[in-house]
Amino acid sequence: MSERIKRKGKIPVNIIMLLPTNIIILFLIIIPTILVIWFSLVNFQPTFGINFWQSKFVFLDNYFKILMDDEFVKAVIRTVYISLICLGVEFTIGLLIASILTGNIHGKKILYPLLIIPIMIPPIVIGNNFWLIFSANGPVNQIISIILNTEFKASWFSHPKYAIIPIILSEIWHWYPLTFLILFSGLVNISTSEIRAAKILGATEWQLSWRIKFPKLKGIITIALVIRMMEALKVFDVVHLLTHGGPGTRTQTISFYLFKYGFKYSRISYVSAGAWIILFISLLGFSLALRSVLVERK
Amino acid sequence: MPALVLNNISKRYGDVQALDGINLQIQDGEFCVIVGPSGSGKTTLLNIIAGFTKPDDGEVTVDGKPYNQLSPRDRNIGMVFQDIGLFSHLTVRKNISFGLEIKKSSKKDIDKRVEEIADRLKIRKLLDKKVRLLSGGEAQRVAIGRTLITNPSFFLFDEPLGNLDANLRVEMLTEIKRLHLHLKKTFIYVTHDQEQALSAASRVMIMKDGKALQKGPPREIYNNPIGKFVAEFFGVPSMNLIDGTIIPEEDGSLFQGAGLNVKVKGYSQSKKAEVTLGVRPTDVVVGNQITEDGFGTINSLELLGDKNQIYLTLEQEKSIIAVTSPEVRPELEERVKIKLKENRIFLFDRDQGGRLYP
Repeated sequence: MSERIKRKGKIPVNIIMLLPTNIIILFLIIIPTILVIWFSLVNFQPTFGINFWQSKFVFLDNYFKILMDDEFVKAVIRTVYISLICLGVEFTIGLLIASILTGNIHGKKILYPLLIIPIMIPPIVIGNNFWLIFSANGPVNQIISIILNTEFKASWFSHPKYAIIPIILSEIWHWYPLTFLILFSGLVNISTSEIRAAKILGATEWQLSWRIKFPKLKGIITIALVIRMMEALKVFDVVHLLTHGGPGTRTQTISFYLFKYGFKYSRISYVSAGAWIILFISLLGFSLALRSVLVERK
Repeated sequence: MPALVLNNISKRYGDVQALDGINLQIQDGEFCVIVGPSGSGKTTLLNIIAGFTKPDDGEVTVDGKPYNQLSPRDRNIGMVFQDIGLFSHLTVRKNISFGLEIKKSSKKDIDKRVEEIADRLKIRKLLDKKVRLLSGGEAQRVAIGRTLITNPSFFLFDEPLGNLDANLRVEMLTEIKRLHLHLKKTFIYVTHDQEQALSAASRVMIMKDGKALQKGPPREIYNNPIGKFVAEFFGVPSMNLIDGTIIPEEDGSLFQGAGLNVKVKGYSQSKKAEVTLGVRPTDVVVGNQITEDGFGTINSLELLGDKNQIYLTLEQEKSIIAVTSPEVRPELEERVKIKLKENRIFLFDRDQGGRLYP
């Protein structure tokens, strides 16, 4: 039997040791979660003069209201749309680089750290960089001017259709190293014998990828996509820095929407309901995706 | 005409000379075993034959055609890997059929061929299993089956039995030998275990440090080793090697070392020299009714039924092994007379390892 550090009338040491962490978790996760559940079911709205203790229980009213809100639904659709584009492009780039780096090429040792730099840069720096790149006198406009041979001075961030492009590009640039790293680790883990066996049996490079590498990477690809999707659904920093959700609400994402209504307009109950809806949808999606991986493993 | 010719193959990795001018001609239908300690370059050689590694120098030709520029895919080779390398996401059936499926053969042909192979290798029951669930021996059979399907013109085995336990190893080796008899194709088999080489090969190449030390039928190498390394490496148990001095005499020479005085009649030279004497364990006679070359104390005894394996300690703590008939019944710790069979003695140069006698 293991020895327990326990004396009569005293709190056991193990509980004391774990206490600080548990207090942090309690205040940062458990209490806020309970509060958000509570907020989402009442009509707490400080700007309307309704204080926390005065708020009334309204049951699912907030949920119905936010689901009927065109702005919210559009923000959700927009976020999913941005995420899917980012995911698709990042996945392609990541896989391409990973395949190249698993081959026999020179300068691997230099390329490898260079390629993962973006993921180590703080979002605010990336946001500011892309703001400069796409500003009226920035390099993007100048390059287009040279190509078109006329002066080109688009204001990207206030264009209703194209304002989303800098946001998507900065997200892709920031996060492609993640998919690249995950796919790379998957690729290098495929045993050389299996690849050689396929080659010697007559498989072309294409057949090798399609019949051996991809099926073997299926699990890791799903995990890469889920991790990246979680990150993409939270996209906020660049939106805040580049467009502020504008022009109008044209580049508003879920997190920006919730931020705006929650912290600017103080409609706490309203956005709490929205947050729960998002959480529910994401959990459903991710558990379905991960289940396919787990079933495969059995 | 030889089926496979290796002409002066060399390969260097940084400072290491992995292969140093290997020449080998393998006849059609031969079972050739390449044997050597780890790091001797035998797997590199196999990878060059398969096309996974490009030689720095030299040429591989098959039936007169140059193979250097061909990719592994176009070489029509079957290969079994040391770590087996089955496609772990596929079933046994899909593993075996892989070679035909990528060639887009008809489903009927594939099924027929897979069942044929499964019957030959006695793995029909396993066909729909996931390869993850196979035992070591089963996986090895599937790996062999997978190479059979494309009907390759020759087969490469890279230490295929390294991961199996002793009993299974013997069984699989028998299986591979039977396969060779049946297919009548060229087999090239790499191993560090010379017991396998002895029993399977029609020809053996012994490698060390990227060089081919000796080539020939296993019997010939056993009876006629070119130097100290081959002599010690080839044969179970290893040849006894005793360091000593050779002294010229009127009718030959006298070897002195570890308390032994051995007359070597056929060897004559003018002055004393430092040499190593080699004698196979089966050529060491132990007993009391013999004119002895020296004495030894019995250290350990293995009575194996059909033979006795006796571990003896000579002077200067030198240990040797003697293999005798079961009738010889010495006691442990007993001091016995030792005689080395006269015409079965080898003398090697102590430093260079080259053979001096016979």
